[in-house]
Amino acid sequence: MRLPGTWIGLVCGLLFSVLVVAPGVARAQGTRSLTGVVVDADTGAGVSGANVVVKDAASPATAAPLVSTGADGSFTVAKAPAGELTIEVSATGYITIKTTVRAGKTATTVAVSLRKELPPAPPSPPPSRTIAGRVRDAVTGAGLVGARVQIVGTTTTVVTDDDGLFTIPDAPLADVALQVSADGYAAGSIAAEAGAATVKIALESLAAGGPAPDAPRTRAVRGKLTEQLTGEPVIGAAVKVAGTAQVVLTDETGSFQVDNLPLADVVLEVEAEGYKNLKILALATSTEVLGVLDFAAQGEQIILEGRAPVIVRSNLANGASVVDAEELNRVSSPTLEGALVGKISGANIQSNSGAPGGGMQLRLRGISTINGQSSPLYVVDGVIVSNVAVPSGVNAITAAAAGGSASNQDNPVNRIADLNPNDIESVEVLKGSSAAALYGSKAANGVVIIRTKRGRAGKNQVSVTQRVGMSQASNTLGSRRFASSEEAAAAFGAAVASLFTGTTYDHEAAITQTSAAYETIASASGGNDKGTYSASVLVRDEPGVVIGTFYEKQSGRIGIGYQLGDRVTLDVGANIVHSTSDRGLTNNDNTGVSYYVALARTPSFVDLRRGPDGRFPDNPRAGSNPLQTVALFQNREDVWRFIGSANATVALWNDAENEVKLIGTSGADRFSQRNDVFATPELQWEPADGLPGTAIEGVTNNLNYNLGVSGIWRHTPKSEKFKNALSLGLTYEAVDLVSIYTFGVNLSQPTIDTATGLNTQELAVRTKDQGLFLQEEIALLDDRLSLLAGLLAERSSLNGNSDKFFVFPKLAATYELKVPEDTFDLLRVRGAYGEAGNRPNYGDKYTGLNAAQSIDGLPGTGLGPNLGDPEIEPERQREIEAGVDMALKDQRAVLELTGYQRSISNLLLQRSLATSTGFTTQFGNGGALRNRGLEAALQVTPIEGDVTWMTRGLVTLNRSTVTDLPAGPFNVSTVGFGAGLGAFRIEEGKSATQIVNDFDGDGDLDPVGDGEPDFRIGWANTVTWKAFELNTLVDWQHGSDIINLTRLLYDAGQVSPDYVGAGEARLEAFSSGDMRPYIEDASFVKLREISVAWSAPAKWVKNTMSLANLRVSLSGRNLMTWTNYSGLDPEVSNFGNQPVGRNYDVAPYPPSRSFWLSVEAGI
Amino acid sequence: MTRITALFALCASVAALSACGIDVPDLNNPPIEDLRDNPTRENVIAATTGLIIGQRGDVAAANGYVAQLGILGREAYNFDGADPRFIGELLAGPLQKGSPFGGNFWAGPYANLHLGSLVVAGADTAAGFSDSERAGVKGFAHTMMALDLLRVIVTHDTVGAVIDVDNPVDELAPIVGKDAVYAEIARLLDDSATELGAAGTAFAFPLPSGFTGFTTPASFLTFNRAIRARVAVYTGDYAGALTALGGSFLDDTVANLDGLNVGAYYTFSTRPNDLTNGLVNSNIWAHPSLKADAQTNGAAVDARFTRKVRQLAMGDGAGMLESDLKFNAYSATAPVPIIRNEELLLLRAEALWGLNDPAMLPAAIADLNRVRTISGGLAALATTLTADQVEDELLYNRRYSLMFEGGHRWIDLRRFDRLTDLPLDREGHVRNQRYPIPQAECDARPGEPACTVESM
Repeated sequence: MRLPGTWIGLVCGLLFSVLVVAPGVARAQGTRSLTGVVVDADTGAGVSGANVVVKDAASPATAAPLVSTGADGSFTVAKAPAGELTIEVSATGYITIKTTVRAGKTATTVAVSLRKELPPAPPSPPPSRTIAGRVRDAVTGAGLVGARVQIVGTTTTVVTDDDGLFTIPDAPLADVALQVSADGYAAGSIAAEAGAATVKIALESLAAGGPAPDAPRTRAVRGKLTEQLTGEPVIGAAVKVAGTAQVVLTDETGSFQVDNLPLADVVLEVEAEGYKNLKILALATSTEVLGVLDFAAQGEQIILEGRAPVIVRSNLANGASVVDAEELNRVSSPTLEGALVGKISGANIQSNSGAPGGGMQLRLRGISTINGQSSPLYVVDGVIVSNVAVPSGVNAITAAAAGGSASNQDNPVNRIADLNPNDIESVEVLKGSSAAALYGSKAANGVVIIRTKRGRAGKNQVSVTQRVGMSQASNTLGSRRFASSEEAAAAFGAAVASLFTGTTYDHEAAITQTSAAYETIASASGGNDKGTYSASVLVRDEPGVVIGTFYEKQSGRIGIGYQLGDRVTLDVGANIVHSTSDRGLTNNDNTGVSYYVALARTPSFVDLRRGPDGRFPDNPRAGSNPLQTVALFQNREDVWRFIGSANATVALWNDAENEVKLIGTSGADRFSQRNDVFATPELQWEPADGLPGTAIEGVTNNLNYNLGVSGIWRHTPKSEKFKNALSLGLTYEAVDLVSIYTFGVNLSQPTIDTATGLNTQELAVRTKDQGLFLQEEIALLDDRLSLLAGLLAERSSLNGNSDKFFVFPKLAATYELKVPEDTFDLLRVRGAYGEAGNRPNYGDKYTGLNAAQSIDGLPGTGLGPNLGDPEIEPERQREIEAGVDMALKDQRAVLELTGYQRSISNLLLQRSLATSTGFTTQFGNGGALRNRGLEAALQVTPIEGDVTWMTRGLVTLNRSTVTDLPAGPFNVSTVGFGAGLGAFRIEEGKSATQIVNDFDGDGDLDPVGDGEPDFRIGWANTVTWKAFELNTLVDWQHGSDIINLTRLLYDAGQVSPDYVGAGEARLEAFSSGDMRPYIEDASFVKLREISVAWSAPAKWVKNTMSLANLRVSLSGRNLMTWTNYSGLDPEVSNFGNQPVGRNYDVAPYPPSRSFWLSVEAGI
Repeated sequence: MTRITALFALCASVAALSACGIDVPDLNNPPIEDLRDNPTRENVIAATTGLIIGQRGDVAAANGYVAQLGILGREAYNFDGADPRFIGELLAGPLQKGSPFGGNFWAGPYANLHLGSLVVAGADTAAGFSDSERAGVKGFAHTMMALDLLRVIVTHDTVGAVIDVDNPVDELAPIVGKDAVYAEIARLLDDSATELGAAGTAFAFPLPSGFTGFTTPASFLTFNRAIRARVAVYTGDYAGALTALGGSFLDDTVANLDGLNVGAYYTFSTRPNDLTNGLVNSNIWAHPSLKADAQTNGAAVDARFTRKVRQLAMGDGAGMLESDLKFNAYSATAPVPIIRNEELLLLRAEALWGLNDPAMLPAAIADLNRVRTISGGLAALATTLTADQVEDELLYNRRYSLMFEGGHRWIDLRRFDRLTDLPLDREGHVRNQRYPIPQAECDARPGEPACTVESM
């Protein structure tokens, strides 16, 4: 046996274990000698160095000395107690197994097979029912050869083999009767119920008496097979005596008996559909064995099949990160991305503001585009779901986009926030373009594959989680304190100084609140062999830290898997979400209404509090009174969303060597968003234009739908020298989004029809994509080498030529090295190359006239600002990556290291034009960008035992360079306020995220910062002790510069806390064109998550509470931030999600910390 | 059966999916090709109206033409707490080519100029126009284009500008000097005059209410000549100015403000998809020097000041500046003048003064007096003023008559080489003289000398 080379990988997350105990003959009294062997459940190879402790089950204190297994996995316990024994076997990296050898038996040999950790999901119900059985002589019990077994009413007939065994593979899933006949025997019949997998029938010999049995020179071994997870018996498993044709099947209780075994060691090979094969060593002296079967490696969710590797998922050659449900939901997070922060290497996840309801950006492996689409592709159960951020339209009030500045400063929610993190079974993030090539031209930003929870066959499980939380603002800016009215007069003049009374008001505190939040989650799941279900509901209510803001969500979801007939498996899911929110009025504005813009001009001695008449005073220094704004202004959003998926798998062909499946997938994601902004006439700023009152109503309807059909042919020759899978398929995806805004002014009621002035705006996006893919995968050398090649051809309506197919190839290989077992558990190298695309944005190919304007009721058309490119093509990303996965002996340290280079050519650029051409920007392809980076994950378990401490670090490092820019340098036009306030400039040879400013006034723009972090580190710790578990997650970002315009506004308003001296000096530099004092280092260390959980003792829970389980936890999110950044939060983006050009801090929503108490009960 | 059905389904879907085209049109905007390649009477007319809309676009924005030039000419402040550049860049300077301040008044006018040339080309080829209608469309478009180019050159002055607006985007036309630009503006206006002369009695397109009185080719020609007179005065062509004024709507018989206000305006409204006047902005304040410098007639302060500016009990401030004066002139629907009779009288006064003929001074003074007395309620000037005194009075009356309505103060002081008259509010403040060529334009023109011209 070759040991180390056959060990399956760690990182893949599918780690297995199986236990087999073969009790022998117990001695009558005193002690006995016990021998055994410990093997790997997957490979049957002996496990060396496993610790075996044998105890007296009745008095555990009586234990034999600990022994370790030898190189071949064998062990001997010289003096084992004589009674019922408890055998505990542990080996690092494997699930510790405890089993009992019953008293009174004479077992002297034990075979234990260990499974690696983390069992995979259970198998889907078998596509067709198989009836297995045995026809025996009623007297002797010997199998009858050549007996005919027929399903009554059909022509299906099978003949028994040498042992009397038969199998009817395609029996209907209904009660049937079997008619059995054999020469020389009376015919018999037996009922095989729909649920029964095996039948036994004994036939009476027609010859009187029959042959006398031989004297036994053999022995019989009885055994029982159970399922690892549930302990349920495994029915219908075939137990084969190695080296012979002898096969028996387990019965309804999972029991079997093998007769006529030689009086020597034999190996029993167990095979059962849906389970991993198992080898049991039955020593010459054994009469009884136990087997525990583990589910077969699955990774075959039908959703992923066709596009993903199907043979050996663990050998995926690309950096894929999987985050499971527990990791996601340890600390309550309002949104999915929030729950992913710090848990994925290679990912840079930053929030755009602290507003309730999310608004986060997930970037994988650096800058993937400059002007293309920046969101990763989100796929939920096969449905490509929308992650658009639809603005509220509040720009009509803030005029943030006036003055030539870019728009999209409304602080919108990106719609992936609608997903309920608690519904998620796992999140898999495919980073490399070679993995991303699965989704072709949409995958350049990475693919986030989300699997929602599915039921498992077995007992119904119901659980309820109640969380109660609290959130509070975690940072404030502060405000300058004035000592005297003279100081006030020097700053603001006599009139304003007359308001100085010596009292200082904390306006920031006055607009924020500490609020209570709650979340209730209930879920149920279960099923039987025909179908499974899983359902959940969620109600979450989370007030924001700014008064009047909130985020509420109600969500319900159901997922059903069903076996339809013999060959068809259906999987349908439906998720409905309703969310409402009020995000207040933050970010940039040019009318003085955004909270922090107003506060930047409000001295702390000005009293803004509501007067005794119930009205707020006007802010004498700014366009608005933020206390009034938080009290009266409404910025509501109401979203209904439905995500439905239906997938079907049809087994077309099945034989010993081949399996052909046809898979159909379909999904739809429909949401309807309504935005209601209402600024009542009472607000300070409203009468200013003579048109008091503003209402904005936005209605957005979006439909994403996709269809796919694919076929997979798997071929494994009898020799098992290789495994092979060929996939071929078609996909179609479409998006249809329409937003219609109505802006009304001069109104008194929050209904738009009272307005006397109305504007409307419509924005539509429609895309259609079609793809054709072909993939070949082959696994060799006992799965140690796997090779994958694929091609995806796609066309898209977003491309200039919508009929042209663009082809994206990928290649990947992994190889597991044979390494010295005393040093490594695993050493694997992998490499991949792949190409992916990024489609143009909708509209990039058109040059449109601007027809949405009028004068005096006369419509007119003008030039649009953008010159489209009718020949526009997708960007092409070529990525090569190589990695090594390593696990040191006993898994004390596990390291994953990946290096990559992504070269993106044919960049989608929105190039600034010489505006004398009549156009401001031009879309087109050109130029190239390169990212190089490293990702590392290191997991160490320094302490293991009563107290276990596991610590894990993720390092993400990326550097981008613009390698080619034929059209010359340009400032990113979709963000920013011009180079005077710091601009992102794309320039050959420079970082793609450089920030420029002409600080020396020489007319040239000089680099003054860079938006990309030097590195990010996520550091997670888990400490368990008895029933307690402590988890922490620390997120460290080093580097990344922010353009802190909030500070500039505070300085310009002379109210920065450090204005005197420091602020004046900054302003002095700024007034000479030097922006550098406001470009700050955004490095931070945040304590993202901390939780302490206690699981109540199972017995107590069951007896006292009548519950299945009970878990109580206390947790916190974003509790601490260590940073030198002077603003509210170093994670901020005034312009929302941007591939390049985040990191503008303009009066953002303040960040919050939250605490949660959770009680989770299983019923 | 199942297998066959499934295989059939697979084949059928392959066929179905690859057979249909997936092209999607532009759902948001009409394509430019409609106007450029297939002009029709209707889309040319819509684009003609678009010329007014486009030109109006940046006039009355809070960061637009009137406001920015008003700040540069020390008529106004903008204490926008969200944008310190209203002070930092406009007053403390210099104007920056990369900002929406210093980089302004280039992209907008050129987009409109490009649209104008599409309109002119469309007028020639679109079906459904009579010949006189074609001439009318072209005449109107050429006047609007001249106004656009005028906005570029009065802001950029000696930096120069591009006058050829039909080049493809990758073949940039050169930036030519100020004189060539003014010559091109004059040519556009004169071509327009010729075309308007051939335009019959009515335009094919409607004009908004701001052009009331100028809605026929003949009356629109008087507006065209008024602009031509302004251009002539700006270029020192005083004789030409007088000729143009002769063809303009100048009326020296007026006796009241209404008569002075006759002219063409950019209008604003709350009608659907119309624009409101952004000069109604709580951040915009009047410059204190307007109060300090206002002449009086006995106890009465210049009525132009009291009419256009009011004093508040509590002022505001930013960047060490403060003011308690607010403009009255604008509401959300108030129009902004393009040119009106009051300016024409002042232009004639300037042209007469500019002839440098003492005999012409009394006539110049007479025009000034009409404006002073009717608009300002001030005493008439003596007819014996020297040329230098007339120059001072010209500038004073232009300042108060045309206060905060189109950047006149800043442009005038530059024309008279008297920018040093502008008060500096704080140490470190500067007098910007011109706008630089915007960053994006310079990026596309490596080595362009005009890009090295500073704003001061």
